Amino acid sequence: MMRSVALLLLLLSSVASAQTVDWIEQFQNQGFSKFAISVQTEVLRNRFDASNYLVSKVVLQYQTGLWRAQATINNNYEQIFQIEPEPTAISLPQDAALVRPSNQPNDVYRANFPLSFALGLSSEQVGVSMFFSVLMEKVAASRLKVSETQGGVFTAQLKPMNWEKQSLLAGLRGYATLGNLRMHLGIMPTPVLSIGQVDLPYRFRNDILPFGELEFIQPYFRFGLSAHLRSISAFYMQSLPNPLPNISEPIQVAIRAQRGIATFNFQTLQLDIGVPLTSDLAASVGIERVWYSSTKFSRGEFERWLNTATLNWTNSPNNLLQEQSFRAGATFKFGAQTQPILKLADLKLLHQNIFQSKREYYAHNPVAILTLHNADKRPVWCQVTATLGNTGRFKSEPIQIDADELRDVPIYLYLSDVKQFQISRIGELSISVELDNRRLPLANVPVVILNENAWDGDTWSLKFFIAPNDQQVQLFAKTKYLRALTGDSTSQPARFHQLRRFITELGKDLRYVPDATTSMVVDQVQSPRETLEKRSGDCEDFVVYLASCLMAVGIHCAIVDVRPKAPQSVVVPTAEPGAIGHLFLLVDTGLDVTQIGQLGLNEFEAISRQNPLGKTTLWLPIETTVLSSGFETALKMGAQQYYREVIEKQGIIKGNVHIYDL
Amino acid sequence: MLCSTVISAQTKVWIKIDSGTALYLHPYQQQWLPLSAKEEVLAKTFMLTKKGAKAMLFKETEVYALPESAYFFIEDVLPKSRVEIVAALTQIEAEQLPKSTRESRERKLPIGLTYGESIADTTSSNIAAIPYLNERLNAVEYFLSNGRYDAALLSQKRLLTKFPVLYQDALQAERLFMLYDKLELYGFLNDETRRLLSIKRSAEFDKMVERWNSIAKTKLLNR
Repeated sequence: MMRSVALLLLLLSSVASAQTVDWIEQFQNQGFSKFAISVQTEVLRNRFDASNYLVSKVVLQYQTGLWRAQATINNNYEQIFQIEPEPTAISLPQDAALVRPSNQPNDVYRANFPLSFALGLSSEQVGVSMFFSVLMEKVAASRLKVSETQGGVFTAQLKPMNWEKQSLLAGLRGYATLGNLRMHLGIMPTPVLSIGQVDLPYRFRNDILPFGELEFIQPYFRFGLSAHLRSISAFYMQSLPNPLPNISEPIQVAIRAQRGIATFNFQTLQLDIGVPLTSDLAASVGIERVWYSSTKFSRGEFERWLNTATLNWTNSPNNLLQEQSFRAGATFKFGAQTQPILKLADLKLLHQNIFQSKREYYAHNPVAILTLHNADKRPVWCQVTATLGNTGRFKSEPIQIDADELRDVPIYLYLSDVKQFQISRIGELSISVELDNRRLPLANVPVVILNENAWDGDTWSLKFFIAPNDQQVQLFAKTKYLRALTGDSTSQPARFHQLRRFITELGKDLRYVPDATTSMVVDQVQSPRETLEKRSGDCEDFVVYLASCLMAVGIHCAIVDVRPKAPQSVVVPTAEPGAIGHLFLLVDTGLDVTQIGQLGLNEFEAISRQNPLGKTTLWLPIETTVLSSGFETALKMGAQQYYREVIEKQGIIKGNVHIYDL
Repeated sequence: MLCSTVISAQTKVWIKIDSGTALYLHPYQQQWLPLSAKEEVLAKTFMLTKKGAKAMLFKETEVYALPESAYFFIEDVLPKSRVEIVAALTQIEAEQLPKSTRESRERKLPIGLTYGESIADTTSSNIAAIPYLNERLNAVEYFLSNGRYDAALLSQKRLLTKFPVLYQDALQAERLFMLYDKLELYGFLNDETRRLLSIKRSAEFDKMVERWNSIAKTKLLNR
């Protein structure tokens, strides 16, 4: 009885055992081929009878495009279960004789999976596959036979009986990838077609058993958790540099641990290592150990288990008597389309600091230049992808790189519109290349992601803070503009006086607060909405605020940037040397230059300039920091600056003054 | 930084008024101030002389007579070398705050096709409304008649740049071209005529511009 129970325990552990590493899958990921074959052998040692078993399997794979077909031939993978029959109680006539051979064996259940195959579609993002397996079941049991001889004499004897049945099992699995996570869901193989005797005393389960697995995939490692109704497991796989010369494919080290969660308690631990020897050949070795912790297992429990068991038919040489095993194998690829060899020749990071406010800029201007070298003898098509955590992404157009060509690929970034971070942080720009539906990691570069208000000190970048379409800005500006339009209408030209009243309204209650920026902190610029709420700000904040409000009602503006040449000893707290300076605004009156006389302004106050519509109109220089003092003061100060910087110091032709149309 | 009162040293000149009235535009007070009989003023600003005014400009030992009933930029009166004239012409264009060329950093794709041709915008311009137009023209004619082509060119260029509508006046445009020719500034002449040729005007006007353009090209090729 005890032996029988022990065997059952072993059966349970092995059948529920974890999968071994699919080396074809791993090896194909490193270099694609149409045909692949993997031969795996395993020595299983049984601690109960101290015997060793040699089992083996051969896996064949064919892949074309996204389609993949796989067949597995198992040798000596039979699982044998010995089950002690339950005591039989019958009433017999007194003279009945029961003969039981002394060597009468216990009931035996044999399950064998000689052949399995799978067909599926697999891509980087999603995949689905159907898999099938041939199951051969044999049961040898004893049955009591009572016969009546002549004269009413009864004879009872245990008679050996055999059953045999072949079944086809079918299962389904699929996966989907979201970012770095991959979710697998499926149904374990279930009998769908049977040949032979149908009613066996013991039989394989026939219910639907789901399973799930979640993987976290990174360029150099992957980690996963999986579960079904009888056990849970975890695995970790790490890629290590291959020390062999001229072999770029990495060594893979996989560790898997499993624990039973059903009636029977067991743990397993596996360690497998795969070493690519050439681009067509890889070797693998592994070891597995199983621990048991249960001593009792009734026949009833066994039957219930057997009817719902999960028989792992795909990868593992599961044997009933397994306690520890040693594995070795080889995987070959034939007719290989050797994966094109793309190498990272150079990577120039153009922007160490990524300003979230400049998302429009990074969409049109590269943050890095990648130089790829096609070391192959044929041209390749590839796509370069880049991710910056959850903040930004990029995928290039398909690029053709000729044989032995060096190609520069600009890396742009499409940053999320969601304002995610109020503080700056360190991020990692991960760059990879996709070819033949595979993604090869190329580089991870640390960058600083600055908060929404951070400004690089480049006046041109201020345009990214200007938000004439902001709802709150629009509402405020239009209300004030309406008030300006409905004011005194006798003064001519009306347009100029409306503009004067509008700017006066916009400047009311504004409080100038000098920037507290130090040399250690990146300058911060308020959004126009923030300035509206606070009614205070510095030079850049007011330029952004006034320009947003004016543009909200269709008035053209330009920023005048005055940059004194900074001495070398001065620490400039902005991105570009010499960028610190002062800003004022040019506002387009929309009036023809010949109307300058009607305004009562001189040539230093109203500047003749071409507007975005191609018309030469009068523009007013407005000093935004004194807006609260009224339009006249702001205009006078602006005109003084215009005269001093543009005419007197000749700032434009000397390069100290720059104009940025908005 | 904002209210810096430190004004970089710029040329100052003495103005002596023998008779009549003259004013100058104070660039920091932003208003016209009457000039006294002898006064030192900044050179980078405008001066206006009334009819009958007799004024002289002194710079060190040099003396220059100033036109009456004229509006001009004081610094234009001072004689200039060829290099200084080129620099002054560049500065005149820069004072109109040209558009930044940095826009090319953005990839702006065309969103539609444009048909037709550029035409001059004359709808809202009124030449007669230009303040002190006669005085400005008087100054140019005075410099021209006195053989001061450098002062005449700068005054004319300043006038036309500030009020581009005057380019449509063939007389004014041709006067500018003639002054470029006198001073052998054929690069400027070529640029100005090519720019005007891209804007279709009357056939007669275009013919005149084409003639000056061919002169500029011939001179440049034979240089």
